[in-house]
Amino acid sequence: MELDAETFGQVLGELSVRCPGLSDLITSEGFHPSIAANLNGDEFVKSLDTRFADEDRLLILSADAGG
Amino acid sequence: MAQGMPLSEDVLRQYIGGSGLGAWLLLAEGGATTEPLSPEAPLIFAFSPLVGSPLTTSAKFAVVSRSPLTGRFNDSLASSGFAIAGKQAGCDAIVLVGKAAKLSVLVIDDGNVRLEPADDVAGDSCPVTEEKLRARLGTNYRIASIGPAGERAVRYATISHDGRHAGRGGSGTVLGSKNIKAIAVRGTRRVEWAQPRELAELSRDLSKRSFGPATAKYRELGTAANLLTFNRFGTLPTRNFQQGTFDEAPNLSPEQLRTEYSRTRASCVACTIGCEHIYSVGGAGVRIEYENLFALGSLCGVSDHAAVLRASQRCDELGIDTISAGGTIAFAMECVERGLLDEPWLTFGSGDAVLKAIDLIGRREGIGALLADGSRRAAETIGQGSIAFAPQVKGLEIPGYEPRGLQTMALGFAVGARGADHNRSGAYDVDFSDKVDRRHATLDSVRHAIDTEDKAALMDSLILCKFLRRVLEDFYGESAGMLRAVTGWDVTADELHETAKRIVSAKRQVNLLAGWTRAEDTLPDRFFSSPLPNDPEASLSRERLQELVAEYHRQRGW
Repeated sequence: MELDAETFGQVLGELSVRCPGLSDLITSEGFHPSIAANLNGDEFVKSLDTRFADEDRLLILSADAGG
Repeated sequence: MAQGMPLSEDVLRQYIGGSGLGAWLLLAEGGATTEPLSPEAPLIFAFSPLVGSPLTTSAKFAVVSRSPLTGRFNDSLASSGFAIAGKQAGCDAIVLVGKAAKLSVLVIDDGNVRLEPADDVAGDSCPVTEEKLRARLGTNYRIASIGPAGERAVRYATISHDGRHAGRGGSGTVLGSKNIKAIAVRGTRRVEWAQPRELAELSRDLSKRSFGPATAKYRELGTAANLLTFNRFGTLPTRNFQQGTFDEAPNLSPEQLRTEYSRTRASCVACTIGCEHIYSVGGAGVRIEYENLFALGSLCGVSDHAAVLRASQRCDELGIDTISAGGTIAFAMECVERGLLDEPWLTFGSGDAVLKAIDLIGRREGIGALLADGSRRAAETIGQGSIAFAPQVKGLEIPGYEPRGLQTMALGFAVGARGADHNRSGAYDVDFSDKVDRRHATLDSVRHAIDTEDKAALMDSLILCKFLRRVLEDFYGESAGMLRAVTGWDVTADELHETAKRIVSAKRQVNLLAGWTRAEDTLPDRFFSSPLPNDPEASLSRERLQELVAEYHRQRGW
């Protein structure tokens, strides 16, 4: 999914609109502890103020990563 | 000869059950210094105080021994009714010592124990064995059995019950060495709880929370959901850990599988999560986990999902650990690639080769006789430096987590009592979080690795499924509450934390007596000498790992 967003908060806001089925997990205020967000395979992000650059890739995954 | 052995309340409170009690019993029975496949070697089936309670996921048992694959401590866990039957037969544990004169079935009927002939189930798969024995003995018996691989002493043979396996480390090999094909248990005793009303309330609350978002992944796709995630992170072991990404991974994904194969979900007895995803293969069902898809798929370079499903099914039929099978086969494939083994059919990417290799391993025929002993022994026989890329720690093949890209997990693998293990160390949880930089482990990573190891040890002793770990908001506090309600002990969170550490130490004690040295707490050379081609930043030096291991031992107080 491609999005135009400068911050993590804006991404969540966009997702909460585009994916209403995820409303239990993702809101414009944040996300449920059972999921995590990773930027470019490097760092895991939580702060809504995290800024993104062009072509950044955000992976949203289960926080329960293994098993 | 069967005899009952009372266990003091002190021992039960200090080691609880499952892996903890099993470790204590293994030490008490002298199992740490006995050859794993000798008649004198003890094999322990340990239940726990929570088994038989209404607490979700509590129907589990641990099988504990010294491993014939590693020579070190081994605890493998399986689920479902066998655990409950054991408790109802009045047992906290069943300890087997000795060897039957011929292949037999051990029957435990409440307090009565006898051996029966196993001629009619010799060579049978575990499902067929269970079916036949329940027809012979009665449907209220619960059966734990070995497949043909256990009868032929494949060193990573499993013990299976109700389609689930006590899979790693060769528990099935030990049972087979005692000429025991199966254990059949029936019990009629009622298990009493100290605080039944509190227990019922705790159980209702835990069950309700187990349906929430923290376990959604297991219901939706199961552990197989890891496959594409790990591939995106570059941590999907591919071609014997030569790479961390597999271009054909989507072909093995559960998202793909469920478009082509019918699928049902199932759960263990007394479980509300329902993590099992069963795909229909050739008219029969096969449970698929992430580890099957990795070990028999990407690790061998195989993208043919039909072959991977069939290979998983074949491992189940023979009673073989899929991780060790896949790791050993992948190792052999690389040996062929390097000209160290003359088996030109055994090439990366060939699903037919994986299937043929599994069958040869199960029969101990041809190259299977070598591979049936695991990748470390195979490397020792092949020589020519092949030990450098045998994917094992302490002889136990590495599960589907690329250590160079998940360095807290790398530490967990290196120091694990039973070898490379993602169930006894949950350090990957830390790597997939904002607590550490997964590619650059620091000494701060160590305390996180210890924390996950302690929690795993406690869960394996209570016994509760680790898929509950994110459901428990106060891990030690809630665990203490459950144990109090079951036993009436005034146990606290702090006490349980100490108990967890005691259990980890007991496992280490077994290993010390069995000849462990610090040199074993490491990874194969490949992980130090070959960076990942797709992720040059994911680089781990031997010196760095040694620093982490030293810090681990220091923080453990060893």
